Amino acid sequence: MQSTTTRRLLGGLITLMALITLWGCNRETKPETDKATGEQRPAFLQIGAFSINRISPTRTEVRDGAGRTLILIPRAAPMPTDCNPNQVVRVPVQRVVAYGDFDIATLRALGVLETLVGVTRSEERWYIPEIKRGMESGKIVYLGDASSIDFERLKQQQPELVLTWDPSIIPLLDQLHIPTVITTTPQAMCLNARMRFVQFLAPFYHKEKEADAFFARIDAALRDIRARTAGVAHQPKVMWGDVYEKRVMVEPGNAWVGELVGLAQSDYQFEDVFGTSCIEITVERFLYSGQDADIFFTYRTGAMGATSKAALAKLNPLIKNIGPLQRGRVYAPLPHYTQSADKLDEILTEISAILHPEVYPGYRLRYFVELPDIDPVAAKETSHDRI
Amino acid sequence: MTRLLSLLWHKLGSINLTVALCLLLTVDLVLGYFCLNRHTSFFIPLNDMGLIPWMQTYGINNLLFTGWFFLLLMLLAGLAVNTFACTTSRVIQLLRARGPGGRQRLALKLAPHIMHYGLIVILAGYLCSYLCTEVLTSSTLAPGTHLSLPGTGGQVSLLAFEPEYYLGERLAFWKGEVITPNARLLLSDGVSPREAMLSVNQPVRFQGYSFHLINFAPKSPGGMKMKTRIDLHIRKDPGVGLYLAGMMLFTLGLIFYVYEWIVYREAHK
Amino acid sequence: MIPAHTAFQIAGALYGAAFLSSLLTSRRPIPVLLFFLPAVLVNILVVALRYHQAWPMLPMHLGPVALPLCLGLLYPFAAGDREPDLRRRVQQTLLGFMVLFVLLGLCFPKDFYLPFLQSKTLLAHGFLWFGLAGKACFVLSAIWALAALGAPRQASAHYRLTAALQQSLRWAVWGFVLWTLSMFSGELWSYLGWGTPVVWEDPALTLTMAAWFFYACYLHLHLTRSWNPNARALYGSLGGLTLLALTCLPDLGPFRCPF
Repeated sequence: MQSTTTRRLLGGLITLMALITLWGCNRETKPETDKATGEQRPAFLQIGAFSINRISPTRTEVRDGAGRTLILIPRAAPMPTDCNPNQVVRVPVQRVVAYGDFDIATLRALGVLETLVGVTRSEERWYIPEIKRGMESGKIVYLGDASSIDFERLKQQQPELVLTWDPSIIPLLDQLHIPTVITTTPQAMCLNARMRFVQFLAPFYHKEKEADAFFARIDAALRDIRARTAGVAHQPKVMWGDVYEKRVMVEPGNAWVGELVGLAQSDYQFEDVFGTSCIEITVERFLYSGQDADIFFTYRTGAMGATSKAALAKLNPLIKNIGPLQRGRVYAPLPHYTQSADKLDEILTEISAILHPEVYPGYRLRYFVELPDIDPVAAKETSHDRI
Repeated sequence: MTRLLSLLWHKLGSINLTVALCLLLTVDLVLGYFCLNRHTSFFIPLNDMGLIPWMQTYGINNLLFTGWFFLLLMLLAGLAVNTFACTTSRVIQLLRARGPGGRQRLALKLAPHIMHYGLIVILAGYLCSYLCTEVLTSSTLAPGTHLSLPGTGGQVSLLAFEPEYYLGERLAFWKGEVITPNARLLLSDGVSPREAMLSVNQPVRFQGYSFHLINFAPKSPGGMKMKTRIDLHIRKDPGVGLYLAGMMLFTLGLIFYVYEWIVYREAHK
Repeated sequence: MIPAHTAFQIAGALYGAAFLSSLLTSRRPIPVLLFFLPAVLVNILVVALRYHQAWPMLPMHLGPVALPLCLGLLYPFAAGDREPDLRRRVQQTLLGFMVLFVLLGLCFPKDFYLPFLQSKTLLAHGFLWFGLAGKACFVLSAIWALAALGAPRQASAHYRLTAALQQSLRWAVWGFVLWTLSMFSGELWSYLGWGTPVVWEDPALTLTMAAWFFYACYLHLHLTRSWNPNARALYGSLGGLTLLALTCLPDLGPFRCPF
């Protein structure tokens, strides 16, 4: 008797839950109409840890990578009274300082690089021609290394916004009344967030259309990768990271590279690892995953010692026996790789071409370099010795 | 009318409803695990933005992953009502028909009901916390800088960051890293400034706000030449007292219950 | 020093040998103990090694390694003073589960995450150990419910069914108490560390809550006799084991050859 009642109750409650779920699933948030273009945009857009909430045509609230809320208002609008003035950004932004290569490449993708007035990398370390030119002309200023910014110089540049990964400057920028956006996140950016990050910066410049076009371009590249790699016979095993004096850093499975590897019909060896980009794991796990890996992407560039497999093994004797160093392939990023996020479609394609050279015949690498077994100089010396 | 109310009260307090709700909660929470796993970015904002704004944004826009949470809220509300009705009826019965054994026996008999009321208080505390908490997210302090607390006139500044480093050999990955990040704060209310030491798991309370150390830099003496900073979560949470009180009440009931179990049931089995 | 993984392999082999002995020499406890006691000692060593690599922080995903130890420590009390036949069956099943948990820990290790600073508090350790002890009690409750389910159906066996269910309830009560303490420790830790009682970064919290509601329901079913004994035994055994398996999920990594 009592269990019949329980069954009835359960049935009733389950039906109620199903109805509520169905009602919820049919709901859609009301889109906002852009007054200037007449286009409809979603009122709320989430991009990984970032989000855009279009409250009204004159007020957009964005959440940055550190979970801070910033209010975007038109340049002529009065200052809202319900928020901290240091978190109000007048848009479109006309002068910006950016720390990260990725942020700067995203500005380039939006076509607003002319708003850049300050960077934290000296002129000789830039590969983007517009920045080199800007620094030559004095429009873009080197503000000093990220850890020792010259705030006087920054103040002189009169930026309206600072894009950074370093929250320690927020208190000082608050004193200068310059809003700051943290563009890194506690968890690694997934592929979708990496592709859509441009849509997060777009409302700062009213460049939503350009952002959508950029996203469409990357999406097309991804579809091409899917199509090309769909029927491949061999799924290579891939690892991405490095060892620095017994400390192991890898890209987790939730990072964009991990997702891309999976999408391109390959096995990512750290697919199960979840967390921040460049996450630290145990040496044992790295070595275990390396046993049967085929391809290894190192974080190190040639300047950091990644010139050959032998050089890497010498730097980290711990990893000398992992599969890619013994019998597989090892790739290092070229110096301009980190500054090329505006060519994300090309980078994704290149990674796919590395994983499956058989479906990309004649592909020439532009962002990565395959490491030879031994350094060319050493090879030369060896052959010389033989002679 | 009175009869109808009595019937409704009886139905609301039904043990069958309790069983049904607990089972549904179990299923819903298991479902929640699979929705939450690797999709925590939908839920992390819930830590600081409050329930209603979260529901209107992240919640409603990702129903495939957040639907279980809406159901959870409804089921918990149902359970709270059911528990209140059921346990209140029984407490009244118990008080009316005092059996042998005096006050001690009565207190032990009330143990499950103390736990039930404890649960209701915990749930009320959570609700209050998620509805009314004021959060200043990711506030950062560098040495010599200060933060103003809205609505209080209070100010908090970082006097010094005095970390303790791990100097042992046992934890290779932690060698030379900060093991205890101590931040010395100056809390000024305009009248009598005082110092307080903030650390991980060691929050500081000031003018109704609690300060929690979330992150800091540098992590090691020479680590990447990072500038000194501490990242704080600053919260004014009116629910915290309530759910801590609920937990204490529940624990008290649990102690009575276990005592009764050992003394009366285990001893006489 | 012996690696924790190797020590755990040895513990697993010893638990396996104890289980096989219990099957082959069901009426003599000495051969079982001969393997079982060293297994528990080695298991203690494994946990100590994992702690050695993390203390004062919490070793990450210790569950699959420490749960067999908790069960091992409860082994002498698992069967109480019930009739020998029932006691043997329960102890055999318990050994079987210990072997299963060790195999899970060996085949799906998730010991590659490094400890984090926020776990440097006794509340974190309390959260872990109360939870593990609670889970071990729940496993015992499920084993007794299984024993009740397996009791013959004739009227004379009714006593056995009731007695087994009573044991299942007893362990469920202890499990519930410990599980609740674990949850409260976790909530306090969460409040002190992050300022909120629930940290949404960790999906495992939902399974913890699910197990709490499941066993709250089980206790209500027993104490109010809402369902008949067979239905309760089914709920406590199959339902309990399914849920406990789910609560193990967050602690398991990808497959790895155990040898």
